[in-house]
Amino acid sequence: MADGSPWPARWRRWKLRFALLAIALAMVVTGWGHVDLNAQGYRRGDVSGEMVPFAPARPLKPKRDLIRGKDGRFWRRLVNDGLHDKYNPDVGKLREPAQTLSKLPGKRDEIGNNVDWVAALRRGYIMPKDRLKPGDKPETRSTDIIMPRTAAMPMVRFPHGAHSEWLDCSNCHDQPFKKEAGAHRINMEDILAGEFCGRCHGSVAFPATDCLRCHSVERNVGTAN
Amino acid sequence: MKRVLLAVVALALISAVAAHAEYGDVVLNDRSEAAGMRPVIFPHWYHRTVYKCRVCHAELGFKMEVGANRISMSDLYYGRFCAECHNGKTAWGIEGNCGRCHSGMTGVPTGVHGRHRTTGPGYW
Ligand code: HEC
Ligand code: HEC
Ligand code: HEC
Ligand code: HEC
Ligand code: HEC
Ligand code: HEC
Repeated sequence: MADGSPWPARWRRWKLRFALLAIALAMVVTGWGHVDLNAQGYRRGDVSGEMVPFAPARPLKPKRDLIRGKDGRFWRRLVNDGLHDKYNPDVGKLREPAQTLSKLPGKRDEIGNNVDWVAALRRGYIMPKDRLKPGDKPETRSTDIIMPRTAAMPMVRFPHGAHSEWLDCSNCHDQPFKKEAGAHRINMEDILAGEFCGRCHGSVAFPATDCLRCHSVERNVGTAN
Repeated sequence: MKRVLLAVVALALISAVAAHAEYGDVVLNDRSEAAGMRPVIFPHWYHRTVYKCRVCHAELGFKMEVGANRISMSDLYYGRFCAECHNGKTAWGIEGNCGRCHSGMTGVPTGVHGRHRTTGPGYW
């Protein structure tokens, strides 16, 4: 080569692109650059409005920050959860999540509430009320809908039963779902961004990281489909 | 093979980081801090043990979107929103219990904070 480099110019350009891509990927994977000031213990100064340290940023210490249930599941301690103000005199009147949730069935998955809410309701661990004011028993529906457009993943089973035990038809129909099987082009990106199923799964119902709870129907392996 | 690849990619992107607040905690801070109160923390995890979603999101008409209800303290004094229950009969009332609702650290913005966090791009 004229400039003494062992690589042809064409390759050198590609090497740079590849390096940049690798760095970008590493940033995404390690969450580098994602700074959550509140979780780091910063709060807005009362006077200046700037973000000032509230407590020194500190790593999670299991003994101090977590409360463990008998079966190994654990929950954040209220005053150290990065959200509640521990100098609020009334914070002691609130319930610890661990106190209530450790009595409910569930597995230790460190995501969601560590609680299987469907089982908790069906097996009678909790008896949430259907209505506030007296009225008719709400409408339920028990059909399942199989959603097959899942690429290489198992198919999705949407159970109307588990949903209409908690929710009203109007929470889903006709926004965001039309009453018609197969009417929607749903993809995972939309769900993770909080649309369709992701409206609830990701903020209140079990989160979208529990892939196989939705993608629960195996395609017959080896047969044409 | 394709599935293995997919699983690896999904795991790499979506490996769970311990969430901070309890999952489902909603912070309401559109007006509180500006008016000198701590932000409000609404715990879904507790309320869903005593009321089904439909009580709030259908019967009482809470919209399922953070901030969309534009709740203000005067609504509560007129018995709307939270005060349909927090009226001293169904659940403890407003007077003397400011700190139970207004319990957040200052500076925390409105949003679902117990939301599951991932290390993926943006706000998954
Ligand atoms: C809340 C339920 C739910 C969860 C949890 C879930 N999915 Fe999906 N997924 C769906 C639905 C619904 C579809 C669309 C199916 C259809 O339209 O037939 C889908 C489609 C897909 C598709 C094909 C469409 C596309 O976006 O490429 C893939 C791949 C996929 N999911 C992977 C995953 C992975 C990986 C996870 C775990 C990180 C996951 N899913 C978790 C509900 C879910
Ligand atoms: C959690 C959200 C949710 C709730 C609550 C819900 N549905 Fe659905 N419903 C869906 C989805 C998702 C589909 C399928 C749409 C698709 O395949 O694109 C569907 C499809 C339907 C369909 C057409 C398919 C079929 O099974 O024949 C009917 C009818 C229907 N729903 C009725 C109801 C009624 C009645 C209620 C109240 C008891 C209800 N739904 C509650 C999400 C919901
Ligand atoms: C309006 C809110 C809402 C929407 C939209 C919604 N879900 Fe759910 N889903 C729930 C709730 C609440 C539960 C109860 C379990 C929990 O909270 O973790 C649940 C439970 C489930 C379960 C577990 C059932 C069981 O027997 O364990 C599956 C599977 C599921 N949803 C799939 C879906 C799929 C697929 C979609 C989109 C087509 C969807 N959900 C949309 C609220 C919702
Ligand atoms: C005691 C009343 C109450 C109950 C019960 C309740 N919610 Fe909510 N929910 C709220 C309030 C209040 C908000 C915040 C609304 C606002 O900011 O205007 C909210 C917000 C939401 C949001 C919006 C989150 C976002 O990302 O924007 C979702 C989704 C939701 N609730 C789902 C559910 C589900 C699913 C259930 C049942 C398991 C449920 N809620 C039970 C009161 C309730
Ligand atoms: C459907 C009725 C209902 C609605 C609506 C409601 N709550 Fe509650 N809430 C309750 C009940 C019942 C309790 C338990 C009271 C007790 O412990 O005696 C409670 C308890 C609480 C607690 C304390 C939980 C703990 O840790 O002990 C907080 C905080 C709270 N509610 C905030 C709110 C806020 C903020 C709103 C409005 C956005 C709201 N609630 C709307 C019924 C409701
Ligand atoms: C049941 C829960 C609850 C209780 C108890 C409560 N608040 Fe609020 N308060 C709210 C909610 C929800 C908002 C709206 C939050 C937002 O968007 O910033 C609010 C907002 C406010 C605001 C902002 C300005 C406005 O008018 O909206 C002030 C000031 C306030 N509350 C004062 C108080 C005081 C003082 C008490 C005790 C007497 C109290 N609150 C008790 C739930 C409560």
